[in-house]
Amino acid sequence: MKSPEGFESQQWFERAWKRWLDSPTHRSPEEAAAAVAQMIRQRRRRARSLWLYAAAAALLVAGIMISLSRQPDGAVPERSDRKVQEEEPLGQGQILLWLDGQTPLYMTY
Amino acid sequence: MILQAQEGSVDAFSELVERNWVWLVRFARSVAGGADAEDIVQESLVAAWSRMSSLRDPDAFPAWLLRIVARRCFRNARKRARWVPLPMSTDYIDPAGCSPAESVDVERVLNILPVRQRAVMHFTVIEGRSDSEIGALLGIAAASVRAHRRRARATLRTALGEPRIEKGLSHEIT
Repeated sequence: MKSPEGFESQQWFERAWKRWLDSPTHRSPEEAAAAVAQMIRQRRRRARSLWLYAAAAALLVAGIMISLSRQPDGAVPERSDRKVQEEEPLGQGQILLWLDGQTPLYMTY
Repeated sequence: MILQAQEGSVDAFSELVERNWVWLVRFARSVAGGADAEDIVQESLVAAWSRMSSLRDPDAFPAWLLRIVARRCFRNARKRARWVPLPMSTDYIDPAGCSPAESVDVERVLNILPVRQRAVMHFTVIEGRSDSEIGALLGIAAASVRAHRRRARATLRTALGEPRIEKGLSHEIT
């Protein structure tokens, strides 16, 4: 059975609780709304700049990949070509021209 | 307005914040304490903004918002204190002649209760909601609401009803 003393104390406590909650908030609803809106806008800006950085990095990587894949033929002789070079040294008065990556042109003067 | 906020209108969301600020802060005060309540609600509102697309029923917005706030309050309250000193005296004979309630530090008494019991008591005592409403808000069954309230009342009865508690007595918060 409830003790009357405890029951009354609880009622007193509940009244004190309500009074405590009725005390005004530090920030008014208008101030809070402005603060939240500002935080949201800041986050949006931050997220947008992160996307811009990510897009710029992706473009840079894509550019490097494209430029590597489009390297002009014959600029760097392939292994087999180099082998030809090593195995067939140029003779006296010979000039070697590479027409493309795999086609050597020997000229003698 | 909720639909506008879902479509990305910060102004509409700001209006919703203005409307819901006070009752959310009152809830957070009861559950997480006065010092952190407003910060918790503000952070929850910013988090709610980023999850607006997950809200399917606009009519459920207040309950949905409250669940976000409640989760943060529970997390914060659990993190903040395992053991909370209770340096008040519950000797209710106040020399100034005030009623016992006046001399009670509400926040310290609430700290005796586990966070879910605080939430249930808040909705019962402060907002006068039904068990099913409270259950829906907190995501628990109505029977659990009753059990939480029964235990909370028993704890409060013990804490408040006994004539004397030694100063500095600690109570475990779970």
